[in-house]
Amino acid sequence: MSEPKSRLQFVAAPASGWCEPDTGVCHIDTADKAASAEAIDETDDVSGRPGTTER
Amino acid sequence: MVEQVTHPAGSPVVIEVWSDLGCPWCYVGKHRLQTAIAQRPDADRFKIVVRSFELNPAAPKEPETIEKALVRAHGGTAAHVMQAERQIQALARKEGLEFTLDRLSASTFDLHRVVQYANDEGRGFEFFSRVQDGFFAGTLNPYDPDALADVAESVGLDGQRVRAILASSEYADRVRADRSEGLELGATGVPFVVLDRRVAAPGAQKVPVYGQLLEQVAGPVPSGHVS
Repeated sequence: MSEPKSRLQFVAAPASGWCEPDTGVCHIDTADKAASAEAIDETDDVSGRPGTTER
Repeated sequence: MVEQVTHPAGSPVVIEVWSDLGCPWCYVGKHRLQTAIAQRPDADRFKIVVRSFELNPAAPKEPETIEKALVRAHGGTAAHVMQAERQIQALARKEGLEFTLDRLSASTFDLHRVVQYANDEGRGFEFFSRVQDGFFAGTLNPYDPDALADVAESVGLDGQRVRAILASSEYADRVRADRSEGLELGATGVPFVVLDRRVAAPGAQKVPVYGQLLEQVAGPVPSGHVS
């Protein structure tokens, strides 16, 4: 990615997730991945759906 | 966190969001941003403007399942890509959002052309947001011109005009220009939220982070309104 041409101030906080502008590949932040796993576990109790791993 | 910037109290604040329909984090991020805005008593100061960011300009016109599209575009196995989708689904549902995995994927270029028209009419965010919500809820096929025309009419736009746009190449240059501008501004992740052309946040941030950004560009919540 080239240097931004603007004078924007960029937030320092990590995003929960994002999709790459160049490839469209989407990512989830590590902390949110853990939260997601917990949520899936809760869902699995109801649906029996398998858990997930890293994309 | 970025340094404090000020904005005249009570004045309108434009929030531009570079977004694509196929981007699940754009959907999650939009709701978080809306939540942060709604938490302020001066919520009506903020105007969200959708900017087009087509994530996959090479996507086919013909819709296919997201599973098939993700494997073709990014490699890996169907199980692998759908595991990642389930991670986002779990987070979205935890936040009260509908999120079906039974979605279709195709080029979003034509949708973005309609978004540009909707922006011209001052209804861009309402239109795109409704399409996005229906798409992720599994209740809307955004690749059906009639469905898009219906959504357009539901937000006060001209459905016939939408059909005419979809049958033409109108607004194509503006869709491409939006994407280029987002990249020039430094979009390293989509959604790419730019507040008042001063502060930028790539990716889907959490509600408190959006709240802090709103405060930085618009000032603290008016003291007379704090409950």
